[in-house]
Amino acid sequence: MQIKAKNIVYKYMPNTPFEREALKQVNVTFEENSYNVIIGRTGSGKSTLIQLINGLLQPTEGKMEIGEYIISSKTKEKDIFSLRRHVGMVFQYPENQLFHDTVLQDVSFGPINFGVPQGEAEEIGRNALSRVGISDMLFNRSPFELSGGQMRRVAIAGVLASEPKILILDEPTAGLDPQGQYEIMELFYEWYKERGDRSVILVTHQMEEAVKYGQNIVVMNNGELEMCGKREEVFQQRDKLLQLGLGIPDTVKLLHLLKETSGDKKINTAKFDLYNTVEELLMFLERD
Amino acid sequence: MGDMLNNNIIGQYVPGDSYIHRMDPRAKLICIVLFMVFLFFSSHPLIIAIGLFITIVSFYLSQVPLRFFLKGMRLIGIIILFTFMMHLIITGEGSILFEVFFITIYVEGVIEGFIIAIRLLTLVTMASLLTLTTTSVNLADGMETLLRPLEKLRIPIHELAFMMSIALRFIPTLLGETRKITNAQISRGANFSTGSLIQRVKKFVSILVPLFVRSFKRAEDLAVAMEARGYTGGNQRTKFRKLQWGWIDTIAIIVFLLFSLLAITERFFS
Repeated sequence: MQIKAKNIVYKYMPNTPFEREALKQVNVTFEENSYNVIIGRTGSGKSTLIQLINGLLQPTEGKMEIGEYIISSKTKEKDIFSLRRHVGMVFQYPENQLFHDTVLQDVSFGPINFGVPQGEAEEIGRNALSRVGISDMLFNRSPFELSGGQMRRVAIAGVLASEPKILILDEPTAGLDPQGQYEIMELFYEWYKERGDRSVILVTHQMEEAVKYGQNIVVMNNGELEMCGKREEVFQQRDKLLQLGLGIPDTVKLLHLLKETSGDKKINTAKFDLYNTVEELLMFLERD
Repeated sequence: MGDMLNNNIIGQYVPGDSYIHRMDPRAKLICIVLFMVFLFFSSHPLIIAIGLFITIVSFYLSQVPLRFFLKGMRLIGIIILFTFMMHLIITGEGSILFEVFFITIYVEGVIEGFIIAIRLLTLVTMASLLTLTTTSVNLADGMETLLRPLEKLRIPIHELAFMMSIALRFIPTLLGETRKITNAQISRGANFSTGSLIQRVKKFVSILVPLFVRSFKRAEDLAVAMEARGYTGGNQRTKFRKLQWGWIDTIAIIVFLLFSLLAITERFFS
């Protein structure tokens, strides 16, 4: 499903002294089967934008098109319901959404809500749980007996169980240890690669994650779309990113610095993982 | 759901720098108590009119936007209108104003209805003005100082006031939390606006359980943080925020005392 935001304006508490314009005329397109990353400082409108994608918020002005669904300020709640099945949301600290008696019941909550029969929903739930690496010994335990990391995984399984086409991730690795962060991000990437009609939209503050997984990068600033494009294009504009209060990954910084200090014009700074960076460094050393 | 949470003005603070905002919370509390008690002392139209006048002036001085206030008063407006209509219909004696079908409207009913409606209106307006112009911390501080004499009766005023300010402090936090959890469950297909009553109540479990779990966790964290900073209770605690009594406060108290005196005089001496 393609996502298209057309002239989106969003105001919180309109017509009150607390009115705040969170999004000002945002136009952006997320293609089907793409991995997109939204970056921006706190309060730049990232969270508002993603909540517009599954109809938790409705735009004050403008239109949001998700596949065949069109959401404007006048769309009725009941017309949005079926869209939510296609858009999975992993919020910050998703473990706060756990509530059921057992892990399996909690994970089947989504599918059952969307009308899947009990037995089938539990089957989907089991699959989702093993995908996130929860062993079946834990299926009948209370989710509140699990460790923090396990709770996070169960919550993610609860979102995947609805079998969405679009997965929205709002800082899914916040508060996890490095190993856990890596595993969770890899899990999402595998999910994305598995089929040709899945998309991911990731909101993150960690540039390393953004650079590693994002094909397309969207940069938000003060409720506006500041930059938008392929990863290679966006991360070339180091100065602009720094000026917006965002960083760039250390590896990219290293290549930029080397290029500046050595004056070697041949250095390609558009290398986004450790392996390619080392290769670029070796090539530089050989030229010397 | 969002609308319900967003249009609520009770307990909401509107930042500002008006005369009313700058008043000492103690003075505001005393004025409100005087007003509430003595407004019901007399039903003389003059007293009610003065009460209305005081309310309008206070509202004007507070610089709270009228549109915002009216939007938040919608529900209360309906209740007041309903009370007015009830009085109109139920009052069954005096001189007849007019008759429609089987309903007879009496002049006394209209007057009675008006008096009750204006009383309610002024009361609610004044009470909301207090919270609209006073931060919860200041309110708790004011209450604590005013109730201090009760400590002689071994009532733990400091603890009570502290509990109240903590409760007030966490209302916005809990509202935010509720919104987040609700959003997460809605995203998982929970539908809170359809189904039978029992089904709906069952669905609310998916919000209540996480909310309780988080609240207990938060309470524990808060207790640890307080203990880590050496909190031991009320004895000999000094205050970071000092309450400042100004000339506006004296004037306000005088105005409300005069109003009370007038109400008493009307009730007992005329």
